[in-house]
Amino acid sequence: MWLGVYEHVATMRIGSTPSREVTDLVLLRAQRGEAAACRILVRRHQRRVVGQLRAMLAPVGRGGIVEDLAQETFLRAFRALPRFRGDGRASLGTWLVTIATRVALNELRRRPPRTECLDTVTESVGGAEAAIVERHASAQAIERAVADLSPAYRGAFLLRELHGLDYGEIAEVLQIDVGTVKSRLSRARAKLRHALAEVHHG
Amino acid sequence: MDDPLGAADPSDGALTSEERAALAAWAEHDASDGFADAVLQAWSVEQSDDDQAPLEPEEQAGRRTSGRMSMRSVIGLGAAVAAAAAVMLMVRVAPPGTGQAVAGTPGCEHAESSLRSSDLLPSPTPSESASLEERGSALGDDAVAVLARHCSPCHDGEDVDARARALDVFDVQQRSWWPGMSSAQLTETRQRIERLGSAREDERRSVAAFVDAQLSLRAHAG
Repeated sequence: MWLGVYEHVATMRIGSTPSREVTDLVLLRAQRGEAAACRILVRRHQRRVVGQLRAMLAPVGRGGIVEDLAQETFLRAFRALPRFRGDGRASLGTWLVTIATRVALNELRRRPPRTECLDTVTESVGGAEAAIVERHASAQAIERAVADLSPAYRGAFLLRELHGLDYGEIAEVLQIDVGTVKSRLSRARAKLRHALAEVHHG
Repeated sequence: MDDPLGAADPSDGALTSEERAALAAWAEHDASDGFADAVLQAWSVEQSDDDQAPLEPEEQAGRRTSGRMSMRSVIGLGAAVAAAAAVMLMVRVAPPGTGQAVAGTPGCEHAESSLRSSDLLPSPTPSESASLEERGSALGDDAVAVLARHCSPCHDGEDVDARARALDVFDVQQRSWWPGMSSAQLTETRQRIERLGSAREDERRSVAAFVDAQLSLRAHAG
């Protein structure tokens, strides 16, 4: 009963900005293994995790494995959650994104991406994903630019530009030095900028 | 080698707010309805299964934890059930004294339904024992590379996601990772790698050669 009310109240707050106290309470309860709290954490962070995985596995998320890997991300997080020592919602979100990145890199190592042109991919995906690709030319350009990056470059680029990790954090996640992070970011940004410029200037 | 372009001052190449907004819009994607419930269901299944799954190649773990079973998983499960039934039938019909049934091995749920491969292999002569031991150790290095690739993170003691019960069976970080494994567990390891869709043929052969060598050595040692 208590948990039901608690979950309802906490879930109601997800759309806005939950207070630090609620966030910490949810985390503490999830660390104790309470299902309701775990569910709240998934709902709160699933968009971020799925977005990162989809971007890492571009083009267009490589045929529907994104949610399977998102699930694997959360399961890994739950296994390690009792040992997690964060300081609030932001750091938990960052932690989940770093796990998602490692899951994606493992997947790319096991099944290297095939070289496909985007048009072929667009034809082979379902309506919802194809619609995303076709909606804007700039989205296509970004998709193509990100897909052209090697997984290691993608990881650094997305962690920085989508999730705001600093260079040290990215270096730790990818187990590379900070200088390498910077050079990868520089090249990835240049590629994205070039792709967008082609769209905007014909 | 990484391109050092911009390494000295990365702010030179920072994305503009418009570029960043376009990137964020492209990456915006949410899970389908019911995703959270599927995760929780998979988590619940994993917790209830934890006591029964000491060996867990990563691909298998990923499929088992998925809330929605793929057709490949269903076929694999069916094949596994059929194989287990066949093994149980063989054990039941084996004549007394052939020693093909394995006594229960603590920590491995597959022990009772596995054949002891060493019982089916000819014992080496004493003069072959030393070379088998050396060969087994060398093969172990090859095999552990395969296991590290396919059975991490559960069996990788240096990985934050390693699982205690999996590490109890073997840890790919250990130089000698196999002496604590029962023959049934070694056999099960080989079978799991054989069934693993992502394993290459040379990887399957590598693990099979190591397991066969170990079982031969154990059979000889009695």
